[in-house]
Amino acid sequence: MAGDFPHQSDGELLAATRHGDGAAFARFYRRHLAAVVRFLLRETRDRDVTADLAAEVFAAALVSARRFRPRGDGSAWPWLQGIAHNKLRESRRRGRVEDRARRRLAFEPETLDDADLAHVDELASGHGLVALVDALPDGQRQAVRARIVEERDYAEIASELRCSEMVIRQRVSRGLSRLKQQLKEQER
Amino acid sequence: MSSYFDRIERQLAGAVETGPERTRPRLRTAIGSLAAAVITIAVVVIAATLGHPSGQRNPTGSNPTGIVLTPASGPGPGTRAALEADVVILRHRLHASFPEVKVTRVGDTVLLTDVPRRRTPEVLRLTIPGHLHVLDWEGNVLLPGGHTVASRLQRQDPRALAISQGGGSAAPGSTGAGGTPLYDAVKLAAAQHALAPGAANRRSGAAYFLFEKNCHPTRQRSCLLAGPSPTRRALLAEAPPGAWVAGARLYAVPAGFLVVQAAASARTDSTSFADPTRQYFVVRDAPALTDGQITNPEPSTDQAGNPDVTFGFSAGGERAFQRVTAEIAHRGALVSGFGQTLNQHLAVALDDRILTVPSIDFKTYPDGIAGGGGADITGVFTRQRAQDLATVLRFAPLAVPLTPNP
Repeated sequence: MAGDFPHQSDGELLAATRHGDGAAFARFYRRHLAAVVRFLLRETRDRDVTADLAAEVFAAALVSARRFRPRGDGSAWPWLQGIAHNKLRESRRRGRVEDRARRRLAFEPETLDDADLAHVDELASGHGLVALVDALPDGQRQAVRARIVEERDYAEIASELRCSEMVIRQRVSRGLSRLKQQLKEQER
Repeated sequence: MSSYFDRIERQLAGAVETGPERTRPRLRTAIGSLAAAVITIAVVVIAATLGHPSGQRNPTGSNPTGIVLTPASGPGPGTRAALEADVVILRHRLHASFPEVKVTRVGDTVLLTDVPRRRTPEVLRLTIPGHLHVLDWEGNVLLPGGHTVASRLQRQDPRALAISQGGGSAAPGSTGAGGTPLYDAVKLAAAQHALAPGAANRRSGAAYFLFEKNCHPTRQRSCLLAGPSPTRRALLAEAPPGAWVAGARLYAVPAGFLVVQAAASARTDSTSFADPTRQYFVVRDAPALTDGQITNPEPSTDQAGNPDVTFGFSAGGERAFQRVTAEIAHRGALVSGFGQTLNQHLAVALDDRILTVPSIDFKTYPDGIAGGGGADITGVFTRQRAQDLATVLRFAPLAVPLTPNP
């Protein structure tokens, strides 16, 4: 899940989406997929339904991207969680997962195999942290990986990334803060 | 990330990007259009030159023109082979009335050259796909709630009665007989769940429509921006620049359902599918008979001297005709038990337009109509249109539908 994206807030990604930037919405999707899957699996206890609903939630988010208004820290998670909650309630009421947003976007039907279902579990479990790290802005992701995962020295990382140790320390700190915040949001 | 979530990501990103292609790089679109226009002009000039090597005027004496036809679904694998088949079919269709018109394939287009300019509309009428389908009208036409008319007749649902029996002077299947504007019909069709395609279905996939945001159709405006198209890509290629960003609404009519235009009167000849003065119906794509089951279509006149088209049935067609008319007659007897006669109907449609919706008199034909004597389509033709329909039906439908380039 690599990608050289400049750091952009959720609001900026959705604004870029409205102007036709598919990569921006792909990044938004990757940033929030684990959280959405985790939320849905906790509510449904069903991996098929979770995967189906997750696709519908993001399709609905894309359809209504123009309605997003950043609040608080600018994260779109509360908005996305609202969409997920509505889709969940709707599916319970109707006894099936609706595909209205996907049909509106003319999505092709997708099928799930065992590996896909296993991945629903991975995304919803601790492995979702990997997705959150991957979704960090480039600088923060590189710094967090190098310092926390690979346990390298700040000086070595600074040399490799051609910036000062102070900058690396700031990136690691900001990256960890962001991860902490996102994990808290997922647990809400 | 699993392959399922990868595919969803690609579909999401694709949904964002396919539309704005027209606005993001307007320059590219403009260049693309310019290139297409240059190619089209070049092709027409080349074809016209081929048609008149000596530069002499066309022997018909009229100023000839060229028509460029492109596949409605856009080019793709197998398109050229299908276009070759279309060329043969079009030559057959055009031969009787327009022997001077030349039909050739150039790349992914079909060219008609030496077309008499003043008779272009008549030539274009012979380039339609040409799929005839006959279906049980009440058994397949939908009400706004998604139920079939047949399922609501015994409840005396007024909307079901209007579609089944017509309204005022409007015959069943025509404008004024319970139809809706195109936008409402497409919305209704798009809200249905896809049905498993059958061998006789007109379409195996979805049909795509693009409408203006906040559409309020009137008799002057249908709000349709593009479509119906067999693929999303073809639809968006057809859409005006900026439509997506302006909030245009895309609807996919799933396999198993058709949006059909109400029948025209004999004197009206709508050239556009999206005619705001017309009404539309949603029908299940479940034909009882198709063009493959009819034989010897001929222009003729009925007992009153009005132009019609007569045809016979293949052996399978005879059985299918008897069966469907029997089912319709039985239902007519069933729902007429309220002191009123509610004859039920067949619908005969050509591509996405209803030609006629004749009734089956259950008292005269309680066990249906034997197909041995053939059948005719009457009441909606001028002599020329009867001739055109017979010509189109005489040969196979086009292998790939074609759209004239403006």
